[in-house]
Amino acid sequence: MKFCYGLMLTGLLLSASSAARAEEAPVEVLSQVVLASNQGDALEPPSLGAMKAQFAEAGFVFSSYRRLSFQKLSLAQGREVGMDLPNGRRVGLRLQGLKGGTASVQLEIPGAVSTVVKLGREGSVFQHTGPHEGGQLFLVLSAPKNGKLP
Amino acid sequence: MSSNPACQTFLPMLSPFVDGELLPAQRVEVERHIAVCHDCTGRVADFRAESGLVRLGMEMLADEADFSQFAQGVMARITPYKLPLLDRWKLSLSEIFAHQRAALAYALAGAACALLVAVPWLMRDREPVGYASPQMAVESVNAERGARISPVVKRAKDGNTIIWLVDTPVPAEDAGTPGARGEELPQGLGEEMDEELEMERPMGNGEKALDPQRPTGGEL
Repeated sequence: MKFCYGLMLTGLLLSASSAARAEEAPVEVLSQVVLASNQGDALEPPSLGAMKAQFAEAGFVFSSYRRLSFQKLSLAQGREVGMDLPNGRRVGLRLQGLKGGTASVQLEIPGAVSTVVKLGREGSVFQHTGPHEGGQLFLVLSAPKNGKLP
Repeated sequence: MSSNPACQTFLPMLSPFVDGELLPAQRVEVERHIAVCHDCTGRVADFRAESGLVRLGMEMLADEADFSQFAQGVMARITPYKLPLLDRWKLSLSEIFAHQRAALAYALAGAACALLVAVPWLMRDREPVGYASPQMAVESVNAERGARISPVVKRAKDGNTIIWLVDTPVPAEDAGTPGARGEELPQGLGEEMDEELEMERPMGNGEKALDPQRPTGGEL
């Protein structure tokens, strides 16, 4: 029985140490740059159909959605990750903190807006970043789902 | 040679008698003869002395030889017979079940405990760091000072949130300034959307509504 207690204690210590590591580990977030416009009716990739439906439901009617870029960002506290958008703007992403396992991320478009997002497993945040090539550019933040595209 | 004719019968039996190789009945007969025959008694004594000398000589020879590596040398020359893998497994298992049941039970109990701890730990690690909340949530949206935009937040279902940056009207004195109106609303989004967005505009801390001339956003 002493052997079992020892194992359980080891497991508890491992769990505690992993929780401590999680507080220091970088937070990953999927970011997509999507151009929504009324030029044509392209959906590239087709998975953007969900975004189109969400926008239509919210009253934003665009006929075409094209993903211009997609990347997984790794955010660490005290370090800003910058992204250059096709419309010449720059977006900065910064991990504000981790509270109860939930990360808060600040998204800043210099000279325009600063948004704080509490990350969650479901849903996305569609941040309008301005016009581009006759349409509107959006930065979409989502949770990484085993590396698959949302 | 002996003058006693009985000695001729017992003479070949004397050496086996000394070596203890006779049957009990023969031994008794030889002992009876020795008891009465002085010559054969002397012969038996000679045989015993000779045997002792031979044994002593052999022991001296054995002492001179080095037998320290004898066992290893013999074992090295013996090619061990290797059982097939399946038979070895069967043999090992049968030995474990026969002689080490307690150790096996402890090992199984320990493995079960390790699984009880490790499985939830591994499952927990699959969730990415920072995503304890079930849904995404926008905490605050703030327009930067001097920016001529008003952020409009529309919460959709399933944790989706759309943040739209609406241009604010340019003050009359700035109307002619080039670039004062940085962004334009997309074509196709008419007055109807503007009205809807107006209702969704974020409220500041205690503020009733944002100043349309200077939107600053606020806590949601």
